[in-house]
Amino acid sequence: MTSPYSNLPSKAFWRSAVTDRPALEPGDLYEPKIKIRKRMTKIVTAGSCFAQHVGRTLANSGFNVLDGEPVPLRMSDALANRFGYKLFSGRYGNIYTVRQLVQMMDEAEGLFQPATPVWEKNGRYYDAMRPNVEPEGLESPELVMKQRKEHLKKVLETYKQADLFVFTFGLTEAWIHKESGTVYPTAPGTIAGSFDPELYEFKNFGFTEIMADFVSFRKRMKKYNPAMKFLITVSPVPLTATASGNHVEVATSYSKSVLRTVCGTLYDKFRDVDYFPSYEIITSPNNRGVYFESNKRSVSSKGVATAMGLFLQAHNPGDDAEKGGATAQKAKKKGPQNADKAKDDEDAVCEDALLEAFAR
Amino acid sequence: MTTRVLITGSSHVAALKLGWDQISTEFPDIECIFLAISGPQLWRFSTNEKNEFGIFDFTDMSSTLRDHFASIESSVDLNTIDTVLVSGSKWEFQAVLRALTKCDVDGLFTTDRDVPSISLPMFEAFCAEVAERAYRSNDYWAKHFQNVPLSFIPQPRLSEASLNNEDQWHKLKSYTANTAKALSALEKKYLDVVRAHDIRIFPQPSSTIADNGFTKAEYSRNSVRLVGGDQHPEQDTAHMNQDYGEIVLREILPKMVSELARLS
Repeated sequence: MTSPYSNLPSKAFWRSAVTDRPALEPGDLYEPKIKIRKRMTKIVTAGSCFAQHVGRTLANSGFNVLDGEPVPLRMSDALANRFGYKLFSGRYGNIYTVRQLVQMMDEAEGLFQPATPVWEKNGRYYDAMRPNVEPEGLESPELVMKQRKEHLKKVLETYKQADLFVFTFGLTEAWIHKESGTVYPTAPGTIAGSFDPELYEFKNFGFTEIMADFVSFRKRMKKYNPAMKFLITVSPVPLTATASGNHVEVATSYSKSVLRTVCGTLYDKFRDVDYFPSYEIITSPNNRGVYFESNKRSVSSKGVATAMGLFLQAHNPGDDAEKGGATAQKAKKKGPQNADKAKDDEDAVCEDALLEAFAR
Repeated sequence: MTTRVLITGSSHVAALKLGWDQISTEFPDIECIFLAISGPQLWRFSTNEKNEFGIFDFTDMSSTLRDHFASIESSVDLNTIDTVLVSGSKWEFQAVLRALTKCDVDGLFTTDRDVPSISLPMFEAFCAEVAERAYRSNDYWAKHFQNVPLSFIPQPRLSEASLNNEDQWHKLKSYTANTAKALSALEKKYLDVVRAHDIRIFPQPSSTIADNGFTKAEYSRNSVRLVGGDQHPEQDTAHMNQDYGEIVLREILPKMVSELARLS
């Protein structure tokens, strides 16, 4: 009698694939399902703050990452990032939920108008849908809306050119406008605006909703380009805070599980959807937690380099993945001061980290 | 008692020297000592253990420049100097002009061009970054003059004649309504950065600035080279003339002297 496990490869077994694997060795966790042609495949990126690392690594490694809103001035990357440039293919800041992504495209196509699109703080005005891209706010609501209109036009133009959409699923938890369902990237009152429980409510998106949102988004992108492919990941970054009522670790586990399940289902269902296991690479017990910073939440530059090194090795086997992709790793080789500078320049811009300020 | 002022820097010192030659009799209590070298050669300046400032190494120097320094004192004893004025400190105003060719700035520089817009806070942050970078490119002056009061006058703004030059800022010619505001935004940041390093800085006299923020064209006509005394070519819009030098010195020398009196 033979067991169905008897002919499985070693990667199928925890002992050979994990227990016996040297510490910090990322293993063969990823076999690409789709081919990315360096310099040819036009890539757009979006997602949570971890996605910034993905986009930056791809761009720095010579992949053709589209930038629909290039920074028009010569300035440092750190300053450009502070104003939402050079983070993603558009200046939309972090998109934590798929509903936010769908909503942005609906708005770009003129199918949706967000409720309370402009938030105020101390006499300055912020784009409620991307409150961090103008950290000091703007002088008037009109200027915010003018910028938003120009931004959405560029996003639509850019997405219509793409061959590959790279998205990092970040959160299931969000805050929405009760009446219209408008979803915001941050809770009102965190960066600007104010929280009114009559107007806004907490929402924890479930599998069915997230799945439906991504399927509808995929359909839209296929309309722009029938050959469009998708590369999805789950952010390994735990929640800064949860409004679910659960312990933040429990809430994180729930959130990541739902997102991972959506990704797995999309991967199984669609030939044009690939999944890159950045979540698994960073959180593997094989790493003993060293891919997290001392706050046990932020992914270290070493973690990013390892994950992206594996990605580049898979998609770019001719190149030295470490050399080609891991910019943080590159800087590290130049010395600790440069590594720190590179880290400063390359730290992801994360609005959700601002919730830390509310911690007790 | 005579106040001895060392005026040093790049080719922009030439205008001050010519200006001083015209007005020195008006300032009997001030003696100006000039020691300058063209911008790309500024690295040759150093101070030695005798507290002298100047050029001590003539290796690989062009014969013209070598002859020039053979005919003048190529160093100054800083023990005999009361205060130092560095002329032509770079504040990278070209960075702002380049920016304005590429984008509008909401609320500051709006045009009918099909170019992206940036916000005013972002433009101001950009100016702050440019100003910091510009200061770093000048910070060797502070190292040279650690024990003498140091003042800067920034590089003069380009002449408005550069707007007619197709190789320069012709693209901005139709959009000069608010170039002055944009240049002033950078100038303010630069003044702040320099002052934060305990260096006195005198902005370019407003009477020399045209409404478009550039230097009035009349001040770049017949400007003269630092070495040799020949005139710059007509299309030179960076260097200013004797009239400009006179205005600058008339405005700032009394301020420098009164500051010295206050310090003592």
